[in-house]
Parts: sequence; structure tokens; C-alpha cells
Amino acid sequence: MNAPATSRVRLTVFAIVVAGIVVGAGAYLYRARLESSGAPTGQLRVALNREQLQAIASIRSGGHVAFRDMTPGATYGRLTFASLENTAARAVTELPCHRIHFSTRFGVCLAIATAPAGFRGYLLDDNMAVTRTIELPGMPSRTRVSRNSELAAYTVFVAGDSYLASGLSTRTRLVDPRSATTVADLESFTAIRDDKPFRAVDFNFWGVTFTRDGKRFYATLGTGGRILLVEGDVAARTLRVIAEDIECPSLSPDEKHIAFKKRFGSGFDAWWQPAVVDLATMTVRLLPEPKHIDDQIEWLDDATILYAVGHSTSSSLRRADVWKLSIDGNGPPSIFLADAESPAIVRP
Amino acid sequence: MYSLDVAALRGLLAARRRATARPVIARTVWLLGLVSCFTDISSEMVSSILPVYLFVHLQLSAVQFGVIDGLYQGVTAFARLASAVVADRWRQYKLVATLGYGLSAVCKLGLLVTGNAWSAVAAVVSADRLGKGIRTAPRDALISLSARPTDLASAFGVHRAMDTIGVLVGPLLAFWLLSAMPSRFDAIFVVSFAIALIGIAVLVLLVDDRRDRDVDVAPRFTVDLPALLRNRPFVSVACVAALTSFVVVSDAFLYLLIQWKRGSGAESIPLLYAGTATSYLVLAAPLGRVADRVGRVPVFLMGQACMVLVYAGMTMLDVELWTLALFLLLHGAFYASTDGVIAALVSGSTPAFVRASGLAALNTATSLTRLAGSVIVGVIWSWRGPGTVVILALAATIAVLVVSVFALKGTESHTLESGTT
Repeated sequence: MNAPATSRVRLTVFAIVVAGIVVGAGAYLYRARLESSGAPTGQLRVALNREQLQAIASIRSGGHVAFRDMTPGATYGRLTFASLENTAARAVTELPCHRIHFSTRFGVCLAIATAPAGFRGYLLDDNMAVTRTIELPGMPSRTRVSRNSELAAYTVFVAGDSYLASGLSTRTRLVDPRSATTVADLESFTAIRDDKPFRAVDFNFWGVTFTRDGKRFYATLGTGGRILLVEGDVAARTLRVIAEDIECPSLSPDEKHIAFKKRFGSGFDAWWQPAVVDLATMTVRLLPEPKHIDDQIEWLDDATILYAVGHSTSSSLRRADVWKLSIDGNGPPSIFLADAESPAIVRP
Repeated sequence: MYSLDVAALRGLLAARRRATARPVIARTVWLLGLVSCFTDISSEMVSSILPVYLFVHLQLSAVQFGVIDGLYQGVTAFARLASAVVADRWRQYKLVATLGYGLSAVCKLGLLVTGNAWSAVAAVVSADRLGKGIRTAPRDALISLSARPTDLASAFGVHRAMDTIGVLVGPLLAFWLLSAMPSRFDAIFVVSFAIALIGIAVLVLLVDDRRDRDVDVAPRFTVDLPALLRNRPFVSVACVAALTSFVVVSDAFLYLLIQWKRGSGAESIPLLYAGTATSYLVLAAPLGRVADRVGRVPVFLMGQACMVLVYAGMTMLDVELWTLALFLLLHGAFYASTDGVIAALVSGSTPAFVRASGLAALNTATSLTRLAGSVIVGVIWSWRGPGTVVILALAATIAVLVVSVFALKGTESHTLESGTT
């Protein structure tokens, strides 16, 4: 049965089949490579040359937006800046990021990286240099820097961190943006509900938003299938439950409102829409935006929110735009930045 | 006189050579190792980026993610047993294994077209795991039927080592592609599919089937369960294997324990995983050979002793860099001296005509007890904390080691004499 002739025939057929597979996959990769970014792997350089740095410095001297560029092509997925006066003129860096937030002095970029494969957080200074790298314990999810540049926060999703191998949990940490040292893991804070400490093994925190002075913050606490809004005190290491069903908060610059994601439906078919709560009266207003949102909301000014909406659903390039919407409910949502996500508004 | 001496000397030398010869690893075993290597590169590429794909790219909700992840981790016990019975009944090991490999390969393309319809993603992911359930037992049966009875542990050792190369390479390749082409998960799925196809090409075009030899008893339609259960060596080995996977905490838990001991959680889980895999990769073939030469039972017991050392070390030592390296080395040594060796022990104690069924029964038993063990560890962890988990794991592993010493007594001499191939 295994005569040399048969063997040779089989080997020849095998060689032809493998060559066919390699050529086919190679052609697909070549096309995909042409269509998408040429981002160099594993590098940390943010900008190529002095002109680019100057362009970014000039944009950053005024009110501007930092975001993730999602234009198909060479710049896809990279940290990008644009002036609020002219959002069409984009200054693209070389740094691939999934989640971005900036203050006037510091920036955080959460990325999926190689060499070694994993998830990293990069801290950037005002000169666009990566000053520190944080090994993230999970997938990039949310990040914020306080407006006074004193504190930063990130949330990552950890798959397989729960007690059974499957399942999903979050890890939220406060970090010093200068040294990258962890100030605290929110799980180490004392949670307080109705003036009594409470604790459960299934606590998950996500979506930190700081007050202007960086001394307090709001965040989401998920436990027992419920979504709670907590107010945190950094010095006292406490978290006080102040409301329910307010998820992934974002504090307005004047600190009068919190924009958040309101959940509709349940279980498998849940989706989220933007809403606003007035902190003085705690009245919730749903906004006229039926599209599903995923990431934390950002504020353009005291009366306008920004949020990313994805509009492609395949395994190929993910597309999204950043929309803006007035919280007074005046007028329909409109596109603020096409082909972008994770916007951060900085006003010097 | 002179010529007689030479003949005697020659005979003596030949006997010596036979005794010390390197085990003859059959061509089929190498080729099946290659098939598993390609298949594992392909499947680890997808499983390492699946959470990122579902969560960051498709932006599924936590509930949807939980269901898909649960299906992915879930046990496909039924498929495993059914495919083994079919493979044994018609002695179609290669065909059944090919169907399993093929199903998993097609699922890589399936992920290209499902988009974010999460229920379709869930279906594709389940089919992928089903393919894995289908292929494992017939593949292991082919390995055991292709190797000499005296080289079984060496053969499984070589196969597991090649398999582990795939486990190490897959995630690196996937993350490299993802960073070279951000957000192009389609490219990862296509490359994963292509690599799986190459594995199938090796299997279909180069591997010989084993349907035409070594079957001493007429095939039957069902697994002769009573016969398998009356087979004392098989039952002892399967029970000991099941007990072992019950008390040895899952990889995920062990790494969580290490992170808890170390405090900072600075070491990323993928790095710990790579440490264990590297140790396993290096030790699997040599320990398989030692098992064939010195004895499979002693090597298996040594593997259990490795885990005793890990837990003892965790109760007594701080986790520093060198202790961490030592733990991962021992953890890999545990796998290297138990996984392939158990397959060899079971192969040696089951007749050829129920070989796949015996191996499938073993796999099903160990994965069910591992699941039960994880649930119990989870309960103890949240009730009493990780410190208690380590102490209990240490005590339980020592107990199982003692039980194994008695349960496996005499198993091997019996299996070596009555080895059927």
C-alpha cells in the first residue's frame, strides 16, 4: 500500500495543496495589508518628525480634541489630534490606541500590543513622549485623566478572572500620571450604602469620571445584577452609593450634570442609549438618540455631549463616528468627527 | 571457537542495542504531531484573540460574552464519546478525526461571515469545540495503534510536545497580525483557516489509517462498557486520572493563586501560561521516554509529586522570580509526566477494538472532574479565601498521591504483558 510511487504521488499532491493554501492566504493578507494601516509593530514613537510635533503643539495650544482615528488606511487606529476650530485638519501620530484621554499636561492611551503580546497603557507627557508603560491586566475599556492632571484612571476587562474559568470581570485602578504608580484599586475602597459599609464578592467597577480638582470621582458599581452609581473620595478611600441604573458616568465641565448610558432591554438583547441626570435634582432625562452606544460619553461643553457610534458589524475593519448632541433635547444628533472614536476634549 | 565468540558478542551487542535503543517513533506519530501542531496554532490564534474580538471589536455585552465564553470552555463530552464509538465500530479513526479537524477549520471561516450576530457567533464557537471533541479520541487511538506497545509513552510525549509548540506560537502570531493590521480580525481568521487546512492536508494525504491491522476481536456496535469496566487496570488508571484532575486546580486558578501570593499582579497571565507550556514542551518527550524505560506508573506518581511541591512551595515560600520559575517548571513537569503517560497507560490496558472509546472515556472523566474541582475551588475561594485553597489543594494532592500508589500497584506489569498491538 505504501509503495514508493504512491508515496511520491501523495507527496506531490501535498506540496501542490500546501502551495495553493499559502498563496491563497498570502493574497488575502496582502490585500488586507494594502487596505489597512501600516502601523509598525511594537514601537512607541508617537510622532515622526519635528513638523508633526509642531503641528500637534499648535493644535494643543488651543481647545482641541484627542481621539482614535478610524479612517480606513494607513492612519487607522492611531492617536490623533484636531483643533476644535477646524476638526477636519487632523494631526495623526504613530501610536496605535484603543482608548484615549487627555488633560492639558498628560495623556493615557490603552492599547493592544505585541512583543510580548498583551495589553498596555501608555502615559504621554506634553511633548508627546511615552514616559511610562503600564502592563494592563485585561482588555482596554475606559480611561480618564482628571482636568487638573493630578490623577488618571483606567478600566480593563478581564476574561477568565472570575472563579470559574469562563466569565468576565472588570479591574479599575487610579494611577498617578507622572509615575504610573497605582494609587488604588477601586476594590480596595470601602463601599457605603445607606450609611453602612457593604461588600460582595461579585463587585465590579468601571467608568471613572473625575471632578475638576481630582479629589472626587464618580464610577459604576455592578453587583448582583444591579448597576449602581457611586461617588468616590480619593483621600478617604470611600465609595458612596448615590443612585441606581446610572451606568458609565461622565461629569460635565461645570459639574452640574452626569451623562451616562441608559440600558434598555435585558439579558442578551440589551442596548444602551445616552441620557443625562441633573445632579441637583437627580432627575434623569433620556436624550433623542436611538442608536446604541458602547464607550463612555464625553462633554464638548456644558450643554453638549459627544459619543462614538459604531456602524459596521463584520470581522473586517470596524468603523465608527463621533456624534454630538445637545442635552436640552434641541435638535437631532449630528456627526462631530467622521471615522473616529474615543474623543477627549481639552480646553487650556 | 573464534567465530562462535564473535557470534555471541554480536548477539550480546544487538541485545544491548535493542535495550538502549532510542524508541522508534513511528512516522504516523510524527505526522499526527505535525497535524496537531498546525491545528493548535490555528485554534490558539482564534482563542487568544476571541475575547478582544467579541468585546472590543464586536462590542458584545457582558451577558452575550458570558454565554459564548461558557460554550467555548464547555465540555463536549457527548461528541467525544460518540465519535470514539463510531471510530471504533467501523475502525475509521482517520476519517472520524478528519471530520473533527474539518469542522473546526470551517468554523474559522464561519467567524468571517457571522459578523456581530451574537447567536451565530455562539453557534460557530460551539461547532468549533464540537470538532475538537470529535477529533481527540480517534487521533489518540491512531497514535497508540501506530506505536509499539513498549514505546507508547514516548509516542504520546512526542505528540504532546509538538502540540504544545502550536499552543505557544498561535497567540504570538495572532497578536502580531493584529498589531500589523489593527482591527482586521478577518485576516486572523483567514490565516487561522489556512493553517488548519495545512494540518488537514497532512492528515488526509500523508497519514496512514490503522483500520487494516492489529484487531484481534470482532468489532461491536456499542462500547462494551461492562467489558471496559471489568478491565481492572483500565478502571484503576481512569479513576486515578479523574481524581488527579479533581484535586489539581485548573491553570487559571493556579495563576490567580500566584498573582494573589505575589500581591502586585504584575505578571500577566499569558506569560505564566507560556512558562508552563515551555516547560511542558521541553519535558514531554524525554519524560515519555523515561516512562517507557523505567516505568509509566513511577513517572506518573512523580508528576503528582511535582504538584505537591508546587502547593507546598506556595504555603512556605514567597513568590519571587526564582520560585515563580520553579513553580512553572514543576507545573509543566506535572503535565509532561501525566498527560501523555496516562494516555499510554490507558492504551496499554484497553484492547485495540475499543481503544478510541477507552481514551474518550478517560478524557470525559477527567474533564468532568476538572469542572467539578473548579466549581468547588471557586466556592472555597470566595468562602474562605485563597490561603485555604492552597492548603486544601496540598492536602488533597498528597492524599491522591497515596491512593494512586496503591491503586496503580501491579497495573503496569499487567498492561505490558497484555499489550495488544
